[in-house]
Amino acid sequence: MNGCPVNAYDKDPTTGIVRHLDDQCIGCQYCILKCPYDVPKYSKKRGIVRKCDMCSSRLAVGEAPACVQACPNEAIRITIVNIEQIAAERRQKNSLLPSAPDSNYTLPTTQYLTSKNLPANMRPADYYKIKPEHSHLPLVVMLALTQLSVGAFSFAIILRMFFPADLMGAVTPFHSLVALLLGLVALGASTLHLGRPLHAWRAFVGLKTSWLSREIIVFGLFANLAMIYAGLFWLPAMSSFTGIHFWPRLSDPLFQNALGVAVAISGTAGIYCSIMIYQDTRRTFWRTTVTSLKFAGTTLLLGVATILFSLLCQSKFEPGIALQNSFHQAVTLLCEFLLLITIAKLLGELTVFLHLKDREWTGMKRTAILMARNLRGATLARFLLGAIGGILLPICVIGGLEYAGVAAIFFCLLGELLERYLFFKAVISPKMPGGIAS
Amino acid sequence: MKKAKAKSRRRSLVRRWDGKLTQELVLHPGDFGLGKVPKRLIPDDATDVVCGFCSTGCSLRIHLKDGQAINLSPTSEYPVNLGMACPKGWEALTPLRSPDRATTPLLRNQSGTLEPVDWDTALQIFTLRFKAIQDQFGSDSVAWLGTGQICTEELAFLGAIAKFGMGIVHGDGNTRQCMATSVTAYKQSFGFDAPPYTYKDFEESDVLVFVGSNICIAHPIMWQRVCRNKNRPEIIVVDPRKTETAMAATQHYAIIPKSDLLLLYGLASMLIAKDWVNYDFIREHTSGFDDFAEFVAQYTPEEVSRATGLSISQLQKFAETIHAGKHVSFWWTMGVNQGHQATRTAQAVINLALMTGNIGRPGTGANSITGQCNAMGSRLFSNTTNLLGGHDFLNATDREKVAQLLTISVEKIPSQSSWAYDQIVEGIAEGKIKGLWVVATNSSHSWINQREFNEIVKKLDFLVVQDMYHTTETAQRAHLILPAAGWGEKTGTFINSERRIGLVKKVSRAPGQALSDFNIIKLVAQYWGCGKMFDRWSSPESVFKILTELSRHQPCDFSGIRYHEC
Repeated sequence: MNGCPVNAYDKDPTTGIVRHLDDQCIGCQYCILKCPYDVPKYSKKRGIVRKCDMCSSRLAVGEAPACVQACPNEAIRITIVNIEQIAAERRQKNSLLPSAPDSNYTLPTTQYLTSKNLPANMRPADYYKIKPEHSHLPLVVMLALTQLSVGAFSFAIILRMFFPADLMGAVTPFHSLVALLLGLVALGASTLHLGRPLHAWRAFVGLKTSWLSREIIVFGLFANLAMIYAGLFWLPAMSSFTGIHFWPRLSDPLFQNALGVAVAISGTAGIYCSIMIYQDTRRTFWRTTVTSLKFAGTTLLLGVATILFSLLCQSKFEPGIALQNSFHQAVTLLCEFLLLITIAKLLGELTVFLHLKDREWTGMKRTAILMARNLRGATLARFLLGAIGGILLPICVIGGLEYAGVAAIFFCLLGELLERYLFFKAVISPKMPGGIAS
Repeated sequence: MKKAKAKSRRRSLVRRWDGKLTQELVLHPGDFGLGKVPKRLIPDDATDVVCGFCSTGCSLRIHLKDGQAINLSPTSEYPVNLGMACPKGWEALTPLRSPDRATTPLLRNQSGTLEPVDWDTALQIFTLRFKAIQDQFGSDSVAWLGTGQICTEELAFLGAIAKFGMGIVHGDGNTRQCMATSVTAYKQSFGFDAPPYTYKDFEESDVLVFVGSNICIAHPIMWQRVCRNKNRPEIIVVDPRKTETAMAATQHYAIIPKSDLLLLYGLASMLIAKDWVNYDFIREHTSGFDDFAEFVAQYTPEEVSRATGLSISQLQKFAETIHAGKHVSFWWTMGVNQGHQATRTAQAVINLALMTGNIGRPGTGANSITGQCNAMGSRLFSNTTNLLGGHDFLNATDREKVAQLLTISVEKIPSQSSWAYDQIVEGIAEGKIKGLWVVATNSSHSWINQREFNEIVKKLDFLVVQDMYHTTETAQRAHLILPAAGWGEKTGTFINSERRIGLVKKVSRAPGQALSDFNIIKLVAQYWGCGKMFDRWSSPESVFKILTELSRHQPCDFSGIRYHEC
């Protein structure tokens, strides 16, 4: 409910029933990721999520809800409960049933009643059953490419401080264009994830509570700033092409740098929002440390790989810059960076497999099993591509094969896309024990 | 006021409380006692139909729009389900729209693929091929395998034209696979196949014993009746597995697999030893009790305890509970039916009920619960093991009686019993059966030793499958597929587990050229040339009338029931 970017959930103050506003929903499905009980369901046909509202309209006229009417064992009753009494009982046991999600998070008023004592070692029938989750491909592309874009812009700004202006001045127009285009592809991809993208303009409504809402706004700002920023470097070209002379202050390096910093800050803030979106789902594989390291790692890694790509490409267009000493310094430095970040990131990702030795079937152990077994192909490909792009190719560059560096971006990007694919596929979502989880 | 209005307008712009998607779920009065329903599901008529899923035989109220079913809800005033349905019942209309439905007759061509043909071609080929096989190898070289899943009238018609019209000798149903053992047990114990109970007994017992039955899951609506029992009953479950029913039981005996018969003999022995038997009942209504007592005496508690894995005190508690009960009912399903000594096991259950006098009173009985929606109809009228209506093929008087009622010549009725399912399969393997007509069953999937069976059917010269679906494993092996209408697309009756007759009505149009089994069989009779013989069998209703006549003076006499009263 708090995660909804468009405030499409409404809690009735008297009954506590949470109603979903179908016509407000934009189909982002974030509520599905957030609900530990796996209640909201996505309708592909309608492009929205729907959820049980306890048949409010039937309750309102004194009719029994459909589930109450349909249960042959008359096991379901819906009543107004005494919240304090329920809260007191909840303090005694932390979940509704063995293996049910932690009640301290959702503060449920649902109760499962039995006169029998539940066995101490009770486990759900599907305790050992694990299956991959939905891959959310648009989000995979969106996350990897926004991070690439932010990294590429930010890194270029830092390099501009350390390397001669003529080298950086030559590279920046092309580089910022690459970074901008990929960033726009990312935001385009994110709309493919929505069931009803035309209604996404309402995303500001949930700004107060929803990290998704914040992410949409911040990345929207980032994209606009980045467009202006990238445009600045093409002003001279546009002037000579159209014959129009733009306001000269726009080409002031001070203004350029200030805008660049704004781009970097808004981009970083966007990535922070992305991290918070996933940590807010309380899934162990998406907890803050793991997600931040992954997202920050991708930002650095792809940012470096992109600027390396831009430098090498630009030296093809303008062979003059390859003669400069600083060019080779920059290339070597970037490769060393790339090497370092890749090794750190891959090793970090490998630690998930330490959980294979967990004695309890923890969320992380399940994730590790999924990656090692069900998703073995993708996992192997992820590490292989990552190692080629971030280790093998940089070593080749440092060893003298400079133009091998052009390919690094492709391998690194594919590797990171697979990493993000696994991020979604191998996560374990909390749910009620047993039953048919969809 | 103005401010509030402006606020609500702003609210509706950025936060839509209403719209097309919201309206989809807004409920409107449905009439016909249905409560409220979404607009697109408001019916213009409603009718009650017996469910075709399982043997419980619930009544479903079908919501109709322009004569077609659009939704359903359980009938509230029907004595079986009392306004409830299980998930299978709620979804009863869904399979009708399955993409797997057969919509046209399919004939296997020279290159081995199935291609659509019209009904005329299909039935000409049907007749031509089966007649050629019968001419060459004898009339008993064509057999049929039937089902417990089509209407009683269709079952009877199929059995009648096959045996009396086409001269087929051997035919059996898939009911052989589930409860043929119970049929035999009842016949041998009572002299007639008749499970002696109504569902009300679930509510009236004070002890319920379930042997090999996971009724909670398999028959949820029957379990509902158990839940309505106000006597705080003891619920005993005998099952090696800790099933949902076992979880809900007051006593669960998780015996070692295959030890059920010994357990029942042991219980009988303990009850006799303690003198916990009803001698009055035994004297008046049973025979051979002394021999029985002598036989079970060898099953001592020690031996039974060793064989079943239960302790002697558990066995004692079991026996005591039966003794303490005033209305003890015994129930069994496939766990007994498909056991390796199933007929004896079923009889051992029946004997426990007889010796304690727990039969013929409310809340008692030795009660077999069946599986398929019309298993009971097939037991009485499939014309396979029994001559129509529980008569005997070997009995000349019975043959004469049936011939007279059907106004056919008595010579048309075979004076031999037909082979059972397994014998028919063996017959195919040995080359004695060359043509097979499979109706509403999927033998390639369900018969034991599936791989071997599928090798064996390759020997058939001609395999016809008549089914709702063209994708079943058997249909995929057929030379000819006849597309059949399903439940809800035709009329007729089903007989449920408590032997209540329920009416199926046509509430949906069958897809493509699919026809009801009744009409397919009628066409077969015409093409075969024996249509005249079945002039009276013009509609399901007229066949029902014939069946009621056949039941007259039988223990299952229902000659007073009229079709529209079902």
